[in-house]
Amino acid sequence: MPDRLRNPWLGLAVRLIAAGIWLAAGVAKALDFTAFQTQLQGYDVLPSALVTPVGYLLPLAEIVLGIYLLVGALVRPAAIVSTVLMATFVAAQAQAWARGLVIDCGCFGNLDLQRAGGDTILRDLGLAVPGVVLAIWPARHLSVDQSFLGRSDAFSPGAAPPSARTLA
Amino acid sequence: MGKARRERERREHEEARRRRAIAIWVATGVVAVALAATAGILSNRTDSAPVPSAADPTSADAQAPPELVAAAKALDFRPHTEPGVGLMEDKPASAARAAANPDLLAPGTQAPPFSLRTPEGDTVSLADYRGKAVLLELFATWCPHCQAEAPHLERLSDQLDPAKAAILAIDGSSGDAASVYAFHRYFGLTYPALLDPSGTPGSFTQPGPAGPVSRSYRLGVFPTFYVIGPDGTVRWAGDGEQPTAKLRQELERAANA
Repeated sequence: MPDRLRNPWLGLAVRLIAAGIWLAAGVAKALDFTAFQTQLQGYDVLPSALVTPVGYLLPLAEIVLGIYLLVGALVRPAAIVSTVLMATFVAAQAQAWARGLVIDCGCFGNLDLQRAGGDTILRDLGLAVPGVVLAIWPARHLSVDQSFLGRSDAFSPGAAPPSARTLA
Repeated sequence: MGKARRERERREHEEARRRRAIAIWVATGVVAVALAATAGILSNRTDSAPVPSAADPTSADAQAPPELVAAAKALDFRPHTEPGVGLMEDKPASAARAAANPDLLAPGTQAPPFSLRTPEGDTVSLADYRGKAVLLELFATWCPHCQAEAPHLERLSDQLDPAKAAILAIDGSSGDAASVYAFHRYFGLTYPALLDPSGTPGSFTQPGPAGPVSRSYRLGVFPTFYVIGPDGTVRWAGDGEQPTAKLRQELERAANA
């Protein structure tokens, strides 16, 4: 990481943005689980028996992921999960777009209806950036990882190089 | 001496950190299991309406070609249900949700004209209904939400003034004639169901792609509903299961405008 970017408050801001994205997405979906399940069905990728359980699990998991990032618990694993989830969402939208499916993205439940396509894929790629940054440089300023596990903050001056860090 | 003590303290400190890391990972595992269990409980807790029983197919079969009846019987069509299915139809109109598909034709748009065949081979055109309000349903025979809607739509159809309003259904999944007839035969539906074939035929066991008319109506979610006014313009659009009261309300509003 360039030295001029080594600022613990910048890292904290990135982490809070990532947390906010997941909390907003999860809460928006959880406000109307059934509507989200209908949106999920529109993607036509899950067996019908899995649409309902995944329709409940995904919003809850997004909220928990947001909480983990908010409090800074297991920052790097949480950021990796965040990146994998975003990549999955982008892939799901890309296949719907390629097949010409006219469906709502469902990215923020019923709060932001937008057709899944190039725009929403670009938006999700943008929203994935904080998670990718945190997976590479875990921001642990004011975090559970730092306070309880003594993990260093990658954004603080003099932080240990990536090879010296552990998975937590 | 001091060095050894510092070393011991460092080891104890490291050990404490290791224990806390394990505790956090264990807690994360517990959270993951709790999430999965919660999703499972919610999925199973959600009720679904009972599967409607089969209607007496005698009168429908009497008017259909024998080979179509035989093909439909051979399919052994049976509806199935899933958690959350069939719970919307009896709710008040105010329970209707916003459409999931943002690209549905907007009210005021001219409804795309069509002329399609029924499984029995009759041709039905939207133009035949000019002067009446039409509830158009884009459905699929394999779709549990569409199966749950079917008996409610039939009851609504019975209650409509035939001079003012009608219901039409189009199979939006390229369903073949036997599957579509089997669907309507099972539920004893009296309003027309129309075939909208694409290059790849579908059936109630194998979803097919949307046909050209279904695509012109921007089908994205099954079922999709349009209320078309007597002048041929779209008056209302929605998708997913709907309260029957909402469908009736929109139909009456269009018919009496």
